[in-house]
Amino acid sequence: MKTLVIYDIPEDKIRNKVFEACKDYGLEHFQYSAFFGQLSHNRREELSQRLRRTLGEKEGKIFICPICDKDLNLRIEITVTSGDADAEEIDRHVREAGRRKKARAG
Amino acid sequence: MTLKVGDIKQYLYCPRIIYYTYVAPVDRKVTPKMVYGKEEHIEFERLERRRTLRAYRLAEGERRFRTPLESPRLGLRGVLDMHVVTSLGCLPVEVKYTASRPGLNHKYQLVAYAMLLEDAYGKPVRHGYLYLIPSKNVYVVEITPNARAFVRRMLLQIADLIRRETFPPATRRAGRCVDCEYRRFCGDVV
Repeated sequence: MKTLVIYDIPEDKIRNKVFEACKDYGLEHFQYSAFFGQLSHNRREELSQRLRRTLGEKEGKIFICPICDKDLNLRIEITVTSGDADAEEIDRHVREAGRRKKARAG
Repeated sequence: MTLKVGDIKQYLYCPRIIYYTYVAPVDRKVTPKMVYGKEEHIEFERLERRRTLRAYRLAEGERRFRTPLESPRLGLRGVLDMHVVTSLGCLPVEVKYTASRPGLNHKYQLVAYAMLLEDAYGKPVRHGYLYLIPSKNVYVVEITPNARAFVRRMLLQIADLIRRETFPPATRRAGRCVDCEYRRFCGDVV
């Protein structure tokens, strides 16, 4: 089943170990502190045992959630990347203003 | 030959594991879960020494850990995780590190340990426990005459398999093959 792993770990060293463990299990890092991918029941339990040990007595919170395909189809993604039209528009304005300023000064 | 209690558990999971252990021995891949399980057992022992026997609904008793048991009569040996000796008799406790429920193979492994205890102490064993880490759930298993007969039958079947060197059919539950550590040796499973 598709599995979502999200975590909140203040300590860098532990967080990196969790990051590496998720990669070892073939999950895809799709957001900060969030992984997603296919895991069988057994592999999911194995990963949870490994993460439990990694965290040990340290502060942190790890959430492993299997998601069925039916629910996965209902997902909603809202993405705005830096290369968006609005941002380009502003950039163009800034560049033109700079050129006008240079022309006046020249 | 003397069989191990673990063999009963493995045989019930899939008869081919016995084949790969005795008839055509192959390298067994040790999965991370096995390693973690071993470590958790050590931790369980440390904690269990400090606990009362409330989880087993007992008022008094003496715990004994990792007891090697052997019965020439049954042709069986094994190391029992823990057993509690009370004035009324012994109670075997088998520890499992899993998030899921214990399977039938675990139940009959415990029954086999109970039979070994009966031979060692000369007293009947009526109940046993399966202790699950990390949930700390304790499952009570009744040791019935039928269960004992079943274990004896399984022991005969295992001995037969080893003697005849037949390659047994795989378990009918295909899901078990998915993450099986012997999967690379079975050419006919999914």
